Amino acid sequence: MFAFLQKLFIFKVFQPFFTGIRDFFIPSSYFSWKTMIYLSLFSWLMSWLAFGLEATRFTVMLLTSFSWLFLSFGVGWGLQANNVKLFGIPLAPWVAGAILCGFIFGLIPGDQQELAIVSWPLISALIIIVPQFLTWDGNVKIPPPMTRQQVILIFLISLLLSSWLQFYFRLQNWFDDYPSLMAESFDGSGFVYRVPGRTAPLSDGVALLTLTESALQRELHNRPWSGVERWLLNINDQLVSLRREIRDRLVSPSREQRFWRIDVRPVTASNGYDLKLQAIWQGPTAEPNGYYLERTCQLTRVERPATGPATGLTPGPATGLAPAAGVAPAVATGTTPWSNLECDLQTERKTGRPA
Amino acid sequence: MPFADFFDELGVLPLRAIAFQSLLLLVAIALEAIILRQRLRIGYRPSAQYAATLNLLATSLGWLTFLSLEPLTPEPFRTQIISYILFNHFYFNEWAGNLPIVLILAGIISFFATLWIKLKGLEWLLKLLGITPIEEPEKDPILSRKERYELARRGRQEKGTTSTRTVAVLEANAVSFTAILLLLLLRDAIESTY
Repeated sequence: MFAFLQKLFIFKVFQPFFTGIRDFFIPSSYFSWKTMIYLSLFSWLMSWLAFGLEATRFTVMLLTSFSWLFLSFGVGWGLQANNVKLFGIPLAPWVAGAILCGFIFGLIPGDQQELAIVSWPLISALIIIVPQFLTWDGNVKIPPPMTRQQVILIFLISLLLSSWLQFYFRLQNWFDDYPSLMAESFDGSGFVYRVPGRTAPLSDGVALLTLTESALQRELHNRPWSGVERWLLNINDQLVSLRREIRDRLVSPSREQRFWRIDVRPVTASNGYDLKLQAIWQGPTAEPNGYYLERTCQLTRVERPATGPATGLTPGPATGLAPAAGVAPAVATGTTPWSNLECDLQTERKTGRPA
Repeated sequence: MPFADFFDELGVLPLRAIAFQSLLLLVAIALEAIILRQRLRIGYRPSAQYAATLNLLATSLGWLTFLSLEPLTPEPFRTQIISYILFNHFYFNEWAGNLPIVLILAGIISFFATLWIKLKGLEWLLKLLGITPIEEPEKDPILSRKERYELARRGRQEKGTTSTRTVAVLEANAVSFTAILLLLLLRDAIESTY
């Protein structure tokens, strides 16, 4: 008895809550946005049922299409009925437009994300505009001049919004074409803005320098010194073939490759040379005088026993047959000069042009 | 942090362009509304609406022109456009010498293109709104042969054949272009001092 009372009491307390839930889920009239949402859910479930029963593709498509349409109209209607606003702008057409866009461009095969987002304002504007030209019984009507003026303004504003979105995607295209631009600072720009706190990615020139470095390792590391000297003497011709080789070895030759100029500058050091590997950027940049990336490599001369590869002490230059002629006179002295190439790990970014 | 990842995914946003264009549009619409109201003797509300319609139309068409022409431009010129948009200055390449001329030409062409768009736009807007022409078309008085000859000889200028509407739109366009140019120069001046 006591328990029963308690139950009753709890029921009494929670009754408004239950009625609230009931009122929320059951539409007050058939002609309401909740009916639309239920219709959408119903056709969505039916489309799964049809899919499970292996109905024709057409049936499934028809059911999902209806589900999408009911959903967008239901959500739009609901937002409109409850007068949901963001900064004084009614949200209904924008949300309904977004759902419709997702549906329409989901139907078209391929990646249509960009097209969907760009046409979103236009479709939302159509959602606002079209009802102004229709009467309740579906006939075409001509709205009063005041509404016509508003309709024109709404259409033009949505066209402008669409242009801005398209401009955003155009910017991303530019960064796809010229990835190194992403590493720049956009503080001086009158158009674009990068959300602060984001680290700028590495410039593509670093990858180019790494390729140059590995090519140089192959050419100049563990070689007889005389051959290295000859290579350096002839550096301009060597650079031509080096540049061609680097261009061929790039995995994805992007459009910006023509903005990079690879240069190798030997500077005499105490025991050999310092090689300055430079990637000079010749494209658009925030720096008024341009910039270049530089990595320094030490090309040093090491003395090795003349017998060379046969001793097994040196990590053998297995292909060391060609420079045999240059080595020959040194055999008598007991040691021959060989080269050793070591590169710094970091790449420096310097402004201006290399001297 | 997923929010930061979201921004990272978005990359570089044209927020400054949007903010500055909104400002320029507001200034242009305000100035043109004043001029249209005075010249065409219409109320505050319609003059603001006409000015907003004309400027939004010209801006949208300008964007569409830019977005459709940009991929067609030759590569060296395209990269100069990219340089200007991203870094606010041009860089040195084979086009660098021609750019001042190109800029001035682009300015002049855009002025006349905007003027034409606004004139046509106002004509169509009034037609769509079903408004009778604002200025009464002056009835050609029946002229003698000599008078007509005199008129043709003077280029018919004093007779007011250029309608009030054309003059109003021309003046509005000139004022808004001047204001925009001043604002752009002001922005550059402020940026160069910091």
